[in-house]
Amino acid sequence: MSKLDVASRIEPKRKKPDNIEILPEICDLCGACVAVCPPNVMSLIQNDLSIDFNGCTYCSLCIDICPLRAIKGSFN
Amino acid sequence: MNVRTDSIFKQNYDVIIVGGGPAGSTAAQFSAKSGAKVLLLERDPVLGSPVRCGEGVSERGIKGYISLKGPWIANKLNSLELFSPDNSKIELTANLIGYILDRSIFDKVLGEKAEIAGASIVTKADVKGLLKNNGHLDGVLVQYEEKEYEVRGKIIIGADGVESRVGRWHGIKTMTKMNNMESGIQINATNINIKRDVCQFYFGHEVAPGGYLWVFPKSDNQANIGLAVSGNYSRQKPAKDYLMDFMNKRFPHAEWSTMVAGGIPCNPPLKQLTKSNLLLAGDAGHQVNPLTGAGIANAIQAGRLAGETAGNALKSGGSLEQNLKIYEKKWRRSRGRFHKSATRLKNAVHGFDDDKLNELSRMLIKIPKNDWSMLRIFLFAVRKNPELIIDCIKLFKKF
Repeated sequence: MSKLDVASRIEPKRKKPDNIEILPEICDLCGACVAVCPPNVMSLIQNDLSIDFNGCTYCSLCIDICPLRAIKGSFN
Repeated sequence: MNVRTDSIFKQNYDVIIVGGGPAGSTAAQFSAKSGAKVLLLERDPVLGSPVRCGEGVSERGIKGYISLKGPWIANKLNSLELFSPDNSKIELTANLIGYILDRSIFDKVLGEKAEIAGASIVTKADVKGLLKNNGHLDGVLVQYEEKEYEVRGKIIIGADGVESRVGRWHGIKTMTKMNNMESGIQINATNINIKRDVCQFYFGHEVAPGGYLWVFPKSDNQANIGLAVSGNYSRQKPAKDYLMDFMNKRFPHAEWSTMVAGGIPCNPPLKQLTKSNLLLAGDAGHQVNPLTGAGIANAIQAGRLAGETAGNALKSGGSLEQNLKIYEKKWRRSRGRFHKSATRLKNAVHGFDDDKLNELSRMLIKIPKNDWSMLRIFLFAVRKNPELIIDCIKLFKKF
């Protein structure tokens, strides 16, 4: 288990989503998700929120913290 | 391509500041005042917008930094009301409780003050990374109008707000843990029946678990109504839904056009505020009152300290890195202890369930209104409810 894999440490039984999607029409670009992202793979640049999935651990903290639920997790 | 901006990016700076909020602008102002050549980079097109803030501040928090009369002061508060989960009300009246700002003007004026002091400000400038050289920073990588620029500077001040990526890029652990992050949401509501000079706070697990709801009036019929929910609870129900439930219940006829979201980092003091030639200030340096989530005054104070330290570090000889550490030392001396005890108190309050909050409010109501002081409340609580106090003492002793 990776050190950055926070979700598994907090809640081992919780199933991680297979996909994480940002809903730009809902997102307010507030940056709360960027601040809690353990591997620091989220960025707000040019008024656009993006996730670098190469480093993403799918921990779902960004989904949980979003005040507007503008980030969605889904399962295959 | 803007020729002026192009030439601005080609110059070498003494101090580069990332972020044009209160911390960044104040740092720019005070480092420029002490003779440094300063560049402030802001991501948004204008300073002060969008407003992700309740805009409440105490007089002491802004006095000396900006005049207390002007269009940046939207409203003055003389009274506050606290509502417990069972809806009993505690009132506190004073000559002046605080101000509600208009941050869209306030931030611009702080920016103007920095420019008058000699700092250059570039907006729409995204900082994408740091230019590193053997553990030392040579400058920042900026994206401006789809072009990238390497801008050189001797000292970098990260005032990039809640995201605090500048610190993380340089190896400072600025990530906010979920239990310390507050998931916030706010509307600017009209058509509500409120008193202009009274701010309200609502507590309880149904309203805002692990946080609180605020009503900050900006005029007779208009208020910032927002709440923050602890990251521990925002998974089950998002902050927006909590606010909608409250509005339907309390202000069913309210109208609003905009809704802003925001994260409030209610952290214990950051272990490291400086690293080599990088300083962190404001939300980026976790300089938010962890109990109340108030950040404006903390950001201005820290910005000034960072700016002055940076300016002086360049003037006085010796090691730049050692000179910059003065910022951290001074901040810990002036704010460190307060910040630590506020963290302990926050953890205590978050542990209270609704019954305990109700009990607390019933106790507070009995105190005569003209006799409010922290010591009085403490003594009263010990006499009336020893069990509650044991909780508090336990919490203070534990850390």
